[in-house]
Amino acid sequence: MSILGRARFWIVIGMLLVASTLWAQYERGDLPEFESDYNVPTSENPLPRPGRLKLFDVSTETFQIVDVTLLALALCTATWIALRLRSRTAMIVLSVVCLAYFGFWRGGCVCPIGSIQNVTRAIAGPRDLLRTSTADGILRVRLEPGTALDVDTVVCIVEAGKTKKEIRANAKGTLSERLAADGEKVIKGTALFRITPPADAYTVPWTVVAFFTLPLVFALAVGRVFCSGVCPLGAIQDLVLIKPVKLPRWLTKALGTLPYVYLGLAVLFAATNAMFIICRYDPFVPLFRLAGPMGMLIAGGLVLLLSTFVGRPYCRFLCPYGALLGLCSRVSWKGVTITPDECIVCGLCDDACPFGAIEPANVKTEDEG
Amino acid sequence: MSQKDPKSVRLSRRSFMTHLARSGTVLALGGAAALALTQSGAPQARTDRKVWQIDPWKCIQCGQCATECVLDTSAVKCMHDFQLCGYCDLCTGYFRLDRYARTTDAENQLCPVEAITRTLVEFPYFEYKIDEEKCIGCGLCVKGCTDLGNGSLYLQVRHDRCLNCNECAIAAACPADAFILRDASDPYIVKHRGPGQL
Repeated sequence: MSILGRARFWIVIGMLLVASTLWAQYERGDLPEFESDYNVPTSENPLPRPGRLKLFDVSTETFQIVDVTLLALALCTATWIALRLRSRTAMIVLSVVCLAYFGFWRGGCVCPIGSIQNVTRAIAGPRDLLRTSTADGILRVRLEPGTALDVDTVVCIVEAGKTKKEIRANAKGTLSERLAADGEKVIKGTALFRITPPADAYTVPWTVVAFFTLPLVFALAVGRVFCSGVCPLGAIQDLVLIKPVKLPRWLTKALGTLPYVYLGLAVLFAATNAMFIICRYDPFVPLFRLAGPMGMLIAGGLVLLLSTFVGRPYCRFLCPYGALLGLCSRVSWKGVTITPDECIVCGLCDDACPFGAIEPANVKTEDEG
Repeated sequence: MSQKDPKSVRLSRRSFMTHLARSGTVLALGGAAALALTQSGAPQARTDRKVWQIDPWKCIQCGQCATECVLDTSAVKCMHDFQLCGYCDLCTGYFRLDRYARTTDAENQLCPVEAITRTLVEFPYFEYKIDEEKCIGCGLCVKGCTDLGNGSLYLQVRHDRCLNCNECAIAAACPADAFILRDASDPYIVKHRGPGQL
């Protein structure tokens, strides 16, 4: 058999093999040729919906803008109520409105508390630039642009004297651009390649970033107005508070460290892409949705029961975002303070506060900050 | 007046530190937001939301989609790609194969909630339609159709129901790692286009 004939033989065999495997993957029968005028239907593909009820025929993208606008508006209103109007009733009304919208209608998503994890995951996620992380040396390029990368693909080697260091992609994606030439001398931190992430890579939506930053910015300016008037989780605890019990100060101090632990764990778990613990163990979201794992529904009920006699237990002893807001409000520009010149140290405010936020010692020494 | 009150000096130092901490926090916040938003290279990847979807080529029809979803009735439903369907008389996604009688009585159907309706198109071809209101996403029909038929029945996350949780509870439980993130503008996988489409 001539060379040409042999090549043709193997090409035909190869084509048959490829065709048969492709066919076996997803086609075992054919669409019948109908004799009647039957039209093969197409499947309906409903698009993402904005909320629990199909009230408006509006795209989710429009609703993202509505969400962020409403959050900003609610924060402004809460600021106005806290600093100018100084009315608890007005604040309760605002928080009920926010509970209805952000809580029950939106089902507790998007929420700033969970957004910590999204922002962490986005920051900790793979960057699009691959840099030399090890020693200085001469670059030896292994791969060409357009190559698909896996986590442990060796993209290039950096030679420094006798030592050769392999640089791995550390992320899935496609090598899109070479930024340093083969044989070039590179120092630590030089950008070597640009990597296009795969289509299913995690990206943080701009709304979530807005939900993360807006309450913190307000806390830096005027304190935790988000907690008092906007947060649906705080509102639902406030509404069921019947008779607040004063907890001993050592207990509130001790439990008050839990949010920082929870925040640390949430950041750790999100950064390592292990779990979104804040979302998984949120006690109120199953109540907002009236559906969820039975364990979480019971836990939510228990926290609600607890909040009938302990003021805002979730906010004070668990909420990781509250910890962040608390840190920000410590250096806030304005805020609600006790005027030392007019205070007669009667201690009524300390008695009245259901959350133990006013310390008796502070009443005497508080100065305007 | 020129003599400064020592108390006001203490206060001004304190407010200076407060100002410093505040501006530091503002910068850190801005930096974090910018880092989070620029993490992905392509600009359109930053604006397009991601939603959960099932890769039917990875799905092993274990049935956990029906039970693991945070919703009362799962957001995962069976979808029918009519272009792939063989319109079989003996549909292995519709009939239980361990029954003697091959009638359309409930006990002979695979679907536990009678969500599949079978109508004659022309002999010997039958059309199978999924009633999504009834479907619980258990994947029994999908298993039958994929194992012995064309695989035209497959599970998909229906986005008029899905709440798109940060961490999908089914994705966390999925033994086949079949849950993927897709662009919200194109959230469904059309099976007859073939595997590997993203």
